[in-house]
Amino acid sequence: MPHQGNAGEDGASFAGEIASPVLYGAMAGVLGRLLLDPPGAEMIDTLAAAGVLLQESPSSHADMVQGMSLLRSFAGTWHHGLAPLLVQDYTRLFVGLERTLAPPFESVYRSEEHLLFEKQTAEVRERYRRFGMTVPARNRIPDDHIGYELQFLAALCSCMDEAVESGEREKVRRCAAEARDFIGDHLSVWLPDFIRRVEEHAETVFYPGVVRLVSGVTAEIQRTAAALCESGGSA
Amino acid sequence: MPDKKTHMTIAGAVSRRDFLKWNALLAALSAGAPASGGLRRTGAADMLASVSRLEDRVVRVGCPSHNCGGKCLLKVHVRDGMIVRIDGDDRPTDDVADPQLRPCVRGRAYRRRQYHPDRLKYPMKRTGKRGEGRFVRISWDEALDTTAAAMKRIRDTWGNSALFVPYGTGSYSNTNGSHVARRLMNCFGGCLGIYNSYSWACINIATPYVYGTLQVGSQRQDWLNSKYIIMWGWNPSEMRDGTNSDYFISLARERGARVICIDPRMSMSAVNLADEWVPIRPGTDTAMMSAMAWVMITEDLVDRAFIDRYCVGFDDSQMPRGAEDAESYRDYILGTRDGIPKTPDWAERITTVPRRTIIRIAREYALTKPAMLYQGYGMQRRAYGEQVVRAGAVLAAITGNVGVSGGWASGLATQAPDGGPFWTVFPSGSNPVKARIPVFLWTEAVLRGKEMTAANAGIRGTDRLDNTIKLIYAVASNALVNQHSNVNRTAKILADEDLVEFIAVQDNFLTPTGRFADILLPACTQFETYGIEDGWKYGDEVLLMPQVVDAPFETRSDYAICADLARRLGVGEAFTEGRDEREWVSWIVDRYRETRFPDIPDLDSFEQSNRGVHSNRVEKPAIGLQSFREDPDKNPLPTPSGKIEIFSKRLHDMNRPAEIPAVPKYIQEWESPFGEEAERFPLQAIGHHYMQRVHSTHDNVDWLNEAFPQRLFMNPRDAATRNIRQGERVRVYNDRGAMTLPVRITPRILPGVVDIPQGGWWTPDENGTDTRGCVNVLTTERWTPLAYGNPQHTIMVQVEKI
Repeated sequence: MPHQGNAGEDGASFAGEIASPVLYGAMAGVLGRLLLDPPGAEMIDTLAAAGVLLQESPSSHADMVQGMSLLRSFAGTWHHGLAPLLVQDYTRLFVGLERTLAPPFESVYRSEEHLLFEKQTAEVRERYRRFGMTVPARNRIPDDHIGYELQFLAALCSCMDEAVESGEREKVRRCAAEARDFIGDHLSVWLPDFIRRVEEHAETVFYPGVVRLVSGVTAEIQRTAAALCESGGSA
Repeated sequence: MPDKKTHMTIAGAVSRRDFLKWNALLAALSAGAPASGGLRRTGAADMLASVSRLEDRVVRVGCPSHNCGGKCLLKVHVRDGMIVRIDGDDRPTDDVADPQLRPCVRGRAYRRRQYHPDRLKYPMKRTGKRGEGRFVRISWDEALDTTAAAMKRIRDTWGNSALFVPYGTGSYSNTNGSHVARRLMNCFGGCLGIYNSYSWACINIATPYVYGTLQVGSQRQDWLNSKYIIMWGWNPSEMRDGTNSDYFISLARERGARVICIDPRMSMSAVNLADEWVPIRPGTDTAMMSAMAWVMITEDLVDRAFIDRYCVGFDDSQMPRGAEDAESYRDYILGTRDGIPKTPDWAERITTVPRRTIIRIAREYALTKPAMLYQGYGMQRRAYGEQVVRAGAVLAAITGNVGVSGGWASGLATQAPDGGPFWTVFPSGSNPVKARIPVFLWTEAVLRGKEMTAANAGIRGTDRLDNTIKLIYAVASNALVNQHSNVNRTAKILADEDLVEFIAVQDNFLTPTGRFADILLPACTQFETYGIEDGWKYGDEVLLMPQVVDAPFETRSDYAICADLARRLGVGEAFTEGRDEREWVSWIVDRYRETRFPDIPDLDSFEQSNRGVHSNRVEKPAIGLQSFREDPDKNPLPTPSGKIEIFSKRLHDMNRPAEIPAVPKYIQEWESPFGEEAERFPLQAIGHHYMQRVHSTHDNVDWLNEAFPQRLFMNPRDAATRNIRQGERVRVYNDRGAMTLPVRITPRILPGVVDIPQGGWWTPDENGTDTRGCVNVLTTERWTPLAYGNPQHTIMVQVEKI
């Protein structure tokens, strides 16, 4: 449905509307970081000090609310004595000891053989490439790591935001379509299994909170991106 | 849409405030993130471009194989740096002189190991008690600094002989594997040495007492000239024993050879290759061999002319000087001294093989010339494993099947004319510490090293050890816990930090051995670095293993890890000589060219050709011991007598006739169905080499596990008396340990015998009961009398319904 208006005419509402993709983009960026990096005490200090957990949930999406609440309660009890527990969770869930309890890689859940470096890894890599992006260490950490997928979403949200600001409707539409499809083809497909495994095996509420929030943020980005696509690139 | 607009504007206002905070948080987190930390921009977006055209490569590469018994050729399909498929050798030139090296299921399933989500990805350090299996990720610098500091401290405190690199064959490709760590230790002033192996302990030691050498085999193309082949406890279909060994046997059979398989279980080889399966009670093979000799002697079927010219000790007429009155082989077989003629009746009671079968096979083997008696290795991993090795070789000798085309000398027969493959060309260097222990006795060296002597523990290079083991650096080795005997005992020894003060384990996965590490070092697989290999025991080819893909996560090659440790220990240059993995492979190619493979191209051309293999065609197979056969005076054997020693004066002089007789004898095992122990533990347990695994490697590969599940194989009769039903979990135990695993009830195993395929990963529950089926919770650390070898198939157990 082609939209006949222009950015200047509905500038005020436009700015309000596009706030949510950038917000969720920033959240996706933060969550990506939290899932990529080992949980140093400094990281949690930074998170607790930022004040974001004290705010109201940015949306009423159930996973968003639950994720915020879990993280808030974790931050409320946080002290450095908990750091080893958190590191242990990270190690058992994502790095792996004898078993990797919640491998943070899409292909492990979705490929026919449930392995690393599979078809989904290649597909995600191709998505990044088409958007002019790449993982930092190719063929070392699989491209379909949850953290990279979230960082990709963050980049798409920035793109939507910039395009809206500059009134480039076609670019808005393309970025939004990419975000919508990327989530539909990838993240939303494997997130439920990943979340289940994190919740089953985690011994603190930190990572369950993080992945619930991932689910909420992803859902909101998908909803927003779909709306932008439907409106033909304007708000 | 006025309503929506208003709503959005309000939400947007909230969002803006939130956004600033989240964005600040993102910036703060990113500031502290590792440099490698995130998805980054490479240039302009190219969103309208079609799917990028990716280059597909096919790389021919030697299978990582892990000491499986073969060396095969894989075709690895690579797309955009990822392995997408693995096929086998499909060279169009495929004939007997240079057959294709087709991989088995383990090579074909290798992607499932390569891309397993449980790969050991990062260096880690222990956080809990040793053996608890709790670790956290650390940096390479911390891991290597810690390991190097421990090596220095323990060397300075205790001396180099307190350092130890255990036996390990999890990697086997020159630049990967435990020999690389051995080179590091040797550069660092040495470590306690080892000799012998878990595979061939008795056959390595006993064969030379008969022939003076291990090199008594022919090139395998000669097997096609045999008329009668006994596969005695030999299972090349499952464990390979040289790629294509099963193929050569099947070709011999096509050409008319009769093939007999003697084995407690109807192995794949019995099914695929044999005309007849003869089940036999484990540990009694020497009794059947002795009865076959009785038939040959009493029916005058032995090759008397051969015996007279080529052997000593067969009967009174050819006893060596100084042992003229000792018991000859004939005396033993006829019972002249001990009053027990080794008749087929006598043997039937011991072996369960019907006397008529024994008589028939004895006649067939003695009269069908030329004939091969090929000994497998399982029956020498037993209490008196030395005896069966010598008994088999003696049967070959008294039938005159030695040194002739189509014959086979038995024992550990490495191939003519040059001994066959080198195994490892990469130079470990020479060890400044001269003391060497029999490899199986390392737990003794931890507990009471200084009591170990040449006389009581087979120590070589010195009369007495001057140390106990204080540091272990295990590379590609799960022999530290899983594959060594008596896991529960070993685990206790390793958990005690007052004994071994530091343990580093370097591997592809966190194995049961890895659980006992203080520092875990993640090694890459063979696809992720350069390597090269020639065949496994047999073969006339070199397989190149070029690096196919990048090493994932923070994994590194064994060589690169050791080189980094060497730098920290101040011996970097001595260790590397300025070479990386590929440059060592190039150096090794040159060594092959100087020796067995004069036509091998240089590495660049070899790699560029993408053939993966360079082979010598074997048109006229060399015959083992042929020159000795042609002229024994001019070409004597390297034995004291220069002849085949059916009676060994050297063994006679050891003066331990009950355990180390001078002629091969059947000796009742220390755990036996004929002993008192059988009242409590009435079943013999064996642990055969399973198609699912290579020792313990691949145990975590699900496809292989599905095709070959870990289970207890049991005869229907034994199951019925215990009311055990097909597929249910059972408990197996003796005084050393217990396990539970599912049962497979099958007539393909002898009554009174159960089989627990070796190599399952020890997985104890909270009570210490293994839940995977690691046979070594049941095995004993007691060693064989002559070889100080592992007796891991001699165990008595009970099985019960849970």
